[in-house]
Amino acid sequence: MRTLTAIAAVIAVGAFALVWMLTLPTMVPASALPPYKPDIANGRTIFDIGGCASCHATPSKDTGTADRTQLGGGLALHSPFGTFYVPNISPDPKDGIGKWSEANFVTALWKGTSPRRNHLFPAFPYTSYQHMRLNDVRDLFAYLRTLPPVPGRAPRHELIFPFDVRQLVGLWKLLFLYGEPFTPDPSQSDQWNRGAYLVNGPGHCAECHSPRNMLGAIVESERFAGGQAADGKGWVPNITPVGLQHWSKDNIAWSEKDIASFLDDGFNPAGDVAGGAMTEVIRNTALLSPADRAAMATYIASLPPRQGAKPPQKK
Amino acid sequence: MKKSAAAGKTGVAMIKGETPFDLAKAKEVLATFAEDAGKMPSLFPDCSKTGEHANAAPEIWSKPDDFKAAVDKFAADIKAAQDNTKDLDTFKAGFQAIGKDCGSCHEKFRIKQS
Repeated sequence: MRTLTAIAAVIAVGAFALVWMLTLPTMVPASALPPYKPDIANGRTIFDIGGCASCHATPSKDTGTADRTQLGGGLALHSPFGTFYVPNISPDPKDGIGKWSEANFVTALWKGTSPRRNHLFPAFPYTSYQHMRLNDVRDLFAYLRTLPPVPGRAPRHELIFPFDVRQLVGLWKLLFLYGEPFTPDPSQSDQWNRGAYLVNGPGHCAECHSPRNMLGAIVESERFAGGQAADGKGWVPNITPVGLQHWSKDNIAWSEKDIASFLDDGFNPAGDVAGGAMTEVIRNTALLSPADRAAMATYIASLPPRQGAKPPQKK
Repeated sequence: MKKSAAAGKTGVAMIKGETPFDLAKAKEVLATFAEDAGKMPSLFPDCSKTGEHANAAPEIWSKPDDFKAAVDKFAADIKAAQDNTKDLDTFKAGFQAIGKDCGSCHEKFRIKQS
């Protein structure tokens, strides 16, 4: 009996060690970053399409009036796993990212890992940001450092066990963080590729517009096919042609121009206006150049049709 | 608010230059908005929390002052547009102000369930 217990103990320790090794966070070293002069104007564009302010700006009482330059964090994000409180990413040296190096920042966006080697929860959409080009990430970092430092830390996340165990996010990443950089498709136009990059990288559109599985990861076969909003409030539409070509009870078809126009002013071809969380997205996309909106529209219009789940019928 | 959606469509097409500006049509668009704005306060009694108005957010009932303020602003901006619209440029300015009201109300008080 003692031998069996001993063997069981060894196996347990071995398994624990294996999981520990597999979930060690990877970091991007400073040596991986060649010398570079950041383009702050581009950093501002990436900031806009990345939607950073929408989560990281200190919340204000009235929707739409948060100051985009005050990135003190604190917004509560409700999810099936508990409530996340968005951190301070202002250049404050004590409560924000003022002491972060460039490599720290790249590591956070590409690997979802903090400078202290902790896994970041994927409520921060690094599953999309991992596709961002190195120079865009560096430009964004440079832009963030021009913003004012905001004192004060956000509250700690209130998550349900075992989803609060950061080390287990390492396992989640093994399953769902593929680590692929963006590769342009040479058979497509420059405009399409720009759109594909913006939508899949900084735009992180699929993070809301896709259904998720029980572990909170996107169901790949239904990417962009819509799903329940993460905070449980309402349904996020299917933006593949299954959705966009059969829009609303009037079965309207969106043109590419309609999509680009919608990203500018929130009016859709049914004469309706963006609501809920999409209103905040439009506040960001409205700041882009018309060319970038047109690029995103070209890409979205070309998505393969995917059926997706049906929203729950309410009556 | 379905009539407002159709009116919105007409208005958007005009300010984008997709259809030629027509003062009479513009006035009709604004009149439709005004009609809906006038009806709004009475469309959400307690019994409408479920059923047909499935897209109504709980905030309509938990923040009645905010909701009333939003509806009042909508009505006020429509009236201003009605008073000022004489040509495409004045219509555009008025319409865009109203458009902001559409968005901010839908952001807080509507949750699309499908």
